[in-house]
Amino acid sequence: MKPTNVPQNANPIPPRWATYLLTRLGHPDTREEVEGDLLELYSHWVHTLGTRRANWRYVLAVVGLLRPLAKSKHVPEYPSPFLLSPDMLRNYFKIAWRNLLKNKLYSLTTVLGLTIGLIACGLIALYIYDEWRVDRFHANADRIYRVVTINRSKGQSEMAAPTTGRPLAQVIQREVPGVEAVVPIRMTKFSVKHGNQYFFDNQLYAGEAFLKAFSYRLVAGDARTALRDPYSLVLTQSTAHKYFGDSPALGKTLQLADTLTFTVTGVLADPPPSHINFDVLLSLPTFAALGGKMDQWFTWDQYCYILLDKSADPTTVERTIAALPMKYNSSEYKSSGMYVEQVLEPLPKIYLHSTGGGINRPAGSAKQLYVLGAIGLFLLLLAGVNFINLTTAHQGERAKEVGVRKAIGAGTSLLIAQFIGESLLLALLAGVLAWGGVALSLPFFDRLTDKVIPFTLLIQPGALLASLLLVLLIGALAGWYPALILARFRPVDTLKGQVVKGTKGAWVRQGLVVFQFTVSLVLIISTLVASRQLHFMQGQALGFDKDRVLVVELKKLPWRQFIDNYATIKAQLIAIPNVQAVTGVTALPGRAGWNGQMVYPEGRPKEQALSLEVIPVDHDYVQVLGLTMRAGRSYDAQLAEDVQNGVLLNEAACKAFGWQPTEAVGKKIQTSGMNDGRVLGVIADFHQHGLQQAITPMLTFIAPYAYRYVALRLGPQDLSTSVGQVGQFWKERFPGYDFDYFFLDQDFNKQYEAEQRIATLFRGFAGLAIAIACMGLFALSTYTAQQRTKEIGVRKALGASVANIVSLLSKDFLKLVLVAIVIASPLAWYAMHRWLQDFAYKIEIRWWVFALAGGLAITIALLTVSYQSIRAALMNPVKSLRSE
Amino acid sequence: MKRAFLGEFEEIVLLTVAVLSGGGDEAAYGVTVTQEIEQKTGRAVGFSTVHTTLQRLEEKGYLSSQMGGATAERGGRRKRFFALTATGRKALVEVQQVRAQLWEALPPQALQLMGY
Repeated sequence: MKPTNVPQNANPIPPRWATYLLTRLGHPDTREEVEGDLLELYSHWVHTLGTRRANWRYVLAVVGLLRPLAKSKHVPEYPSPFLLSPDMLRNYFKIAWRNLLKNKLYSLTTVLGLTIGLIACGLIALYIYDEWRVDRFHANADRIYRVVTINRSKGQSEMAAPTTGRPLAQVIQREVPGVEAVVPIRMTKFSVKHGNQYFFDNQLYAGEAFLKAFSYRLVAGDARTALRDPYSLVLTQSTAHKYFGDSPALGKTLQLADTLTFTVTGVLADPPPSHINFDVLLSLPTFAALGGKMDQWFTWDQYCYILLDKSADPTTVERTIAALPMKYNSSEYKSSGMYVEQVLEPLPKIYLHSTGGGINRPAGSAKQLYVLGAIGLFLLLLAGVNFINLTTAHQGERAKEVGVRKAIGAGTSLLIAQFIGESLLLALLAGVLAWGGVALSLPFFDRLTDKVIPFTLLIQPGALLASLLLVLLIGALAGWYPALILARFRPVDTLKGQVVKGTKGAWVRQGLVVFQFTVSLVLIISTLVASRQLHFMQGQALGFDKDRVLVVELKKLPWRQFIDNYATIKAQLIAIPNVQAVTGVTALPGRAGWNGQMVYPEGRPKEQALSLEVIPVDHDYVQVLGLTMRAGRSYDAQLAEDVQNGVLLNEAACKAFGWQPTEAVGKKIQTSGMNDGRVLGVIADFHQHGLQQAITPMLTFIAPYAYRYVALRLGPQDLSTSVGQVGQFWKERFPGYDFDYFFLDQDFNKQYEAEQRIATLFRGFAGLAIAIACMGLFALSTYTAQQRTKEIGVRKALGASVANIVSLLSKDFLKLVLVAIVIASPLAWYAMHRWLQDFAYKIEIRWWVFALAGGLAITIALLTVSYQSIRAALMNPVKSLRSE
Repeated sequence: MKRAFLGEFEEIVLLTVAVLSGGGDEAAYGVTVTQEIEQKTGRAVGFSTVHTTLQRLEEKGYLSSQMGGATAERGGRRKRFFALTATGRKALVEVQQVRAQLWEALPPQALQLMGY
């Protein structure tokens, strides 16, 4: 123990814990003098008795003075008000309301900014939720897998098809343990004749276990037997209504493909969103009954879903299934140089994560959802940031109020609560407005995104609760910082009328502005790049003449009748004035031909067959599309053998075979549907598909049985007259049937709808972001101008011109925007560089895009700031300096 | 009139305050009173006792107090200065008178026995 000694410092410190006890538990009325007396005595004791005994006496005295139950008897002359009394609460609301009304512009921008952000965020959230919930309704979702086919060759494996060979389902059923049910599904397209009209619903052949494995609700029929017998079908409720009206559909019959009579064995409630999209389910045994072969391993055209046992291990099952193709069909695969395996895809992941796509429904994209989610989050942040900026900018106006409230006894925490409460109120107001805004803009958003988001999603209790919580959270978070600053005002200063300087938080506000502009700039640059890419794709020479081509769809015609009379119909069509050439065709540019057909060219071993896109055409195909021949000749109507074995290739196909275009002419070639083809000529490359894809090898031959369209090249005369004449002919030739037509250029451009949508969405979001950012900037410039009123007055008095002062005030903001440009440019470049990777033909991102976006941002920023800075600069210095 | 009742220690404290405040308006507060009693009576008095007594005397109306005179030594805290009220003075005088009467009533023999 240290010897007692006189401490060096004049104020020795007694034991802290004792002092603490005294402060907390001493009598509140005498706390001050008791603490003081004890301190004085303590230092006296230290000097006379030494530290140890002084401590001892101090502690003893403290213990003697503890009055843990004592309450102040002191009744103050001016009692501090109970700040949560109904009167005070009413006062808070009244003051909040008055403040809103007093500064209408400010209130409007604050609430509006938040509302806009919330609307955008709400729409995006709805979109994401609507994509996310796909397939989530299945009760067994965690046990259902889709079996897909991969090809493992040359050291790499890639998905070959989301489908499997036909016998796989049976084999799995027979020999893989742990599988509760196997559901094979095939796509099919029978016409349904009803009255004198053909309908084309989304039809699927589905295995018997379909209704057992998936959780679809049957409103009529028996789930166990509905898909058991051949020629039975199950309709969705709306399809049933379409055909049978309100009378019960069960047991009724439908005529498919003119010849097949199906019995309705079940009606399903309209299915919730799923990656399997269908209106009609046909029983799979029908396929066999119609002569479909089920033993072809190398025909991957059947989807296969499995439901595992509750106890089964997916990896074990997957390993067993993976080996099946090579076990049963190794020789055929190996001769094609393939090593085929199966992989399992968990059901909930198929829609958003699989490259295989859905059935009758394009796949969703998780990446897109992430990007959208990020944008939504950023917009929300922007709006929140704005809220903070606007509130802090106007805190000067509340300074006196804070002063008065503090003077009559409001504590810091109560003031914080008051201001956070106000911001909660504003947020709530914005939330309600935003909810209405979302509800109103939902139809436009649907059109923009090509979705149908049900309104009921908006009024779900869960969604409402979540959005309420979110709004309150935003209000609390955004209100926190301004509330903290306001509550810290010193009443003496504010009541004296001193302008409260907010220099301390300046970097926060500036950082927020930089953030806002960075986000806006990234969005602007992205918009520019996306629309330029779109423009580029639409303006690019396609290699064919897409204008003035009228296309008539054949699928709703009595097909047999058309094919049998094709030659006459063609002759009649070409006789119509202004029709220059006519061709039947399976796929026009913009639509898919027969993809992935194996083609065996002369002089190449059979194992090295190539897979090409094959398009059955007619003699005048080249003429109608205005294609150029690179070598050889096109089909000749005079030569009968052209129909038998005439084949045209494109340049890409020649290249794939390793032939020069000239030497390709006359070569022999074989593919399914054309056993002894001979190359007549080579077509110069043209874009069969959109510019997202590179030009792929393709092959054409003449096969009227495969036509799906008739394309007519029209001359220079009036288009609508010609359409009228063709339509007239059609109605006379096929009375009672629809005349379905479109123009090639419009149809081709439909491939860019996704990009168009993205560009539009981005334009919208960029606009919102910049609007919000401008509000923030406006607030900040108001604030700065206010702060520098006196400085500006002095400058003007000393001879500064208006221009001087405007530039002085604008300079600071310019700096912020420049910083934002520096940050945003690489970010935007990276993002758009990644986006452009999806296109085979793409623009380069040039520097001027950044310059343009930057210039735009600077201009907008300057315009926003100029209002306040000019106003400040024009102010009479006498006014601003008068009070000095 | 209600008779003043003063306990022994109360009387001492009251007297000490009277003595100290005789030297000036701002002389009698917790510390000085404690120290004075220690010096004059030679007994170790706890501060808490003195403080409590002072409070009680103020409650009874014999003392009045006011705040003031913060020093750095006290961590900037003010002192509570005590002064006698008229009632306090009267009480002291009464106590003294009672004693004086008793002393006078004492027979001289008794005084001698006590060694006077």
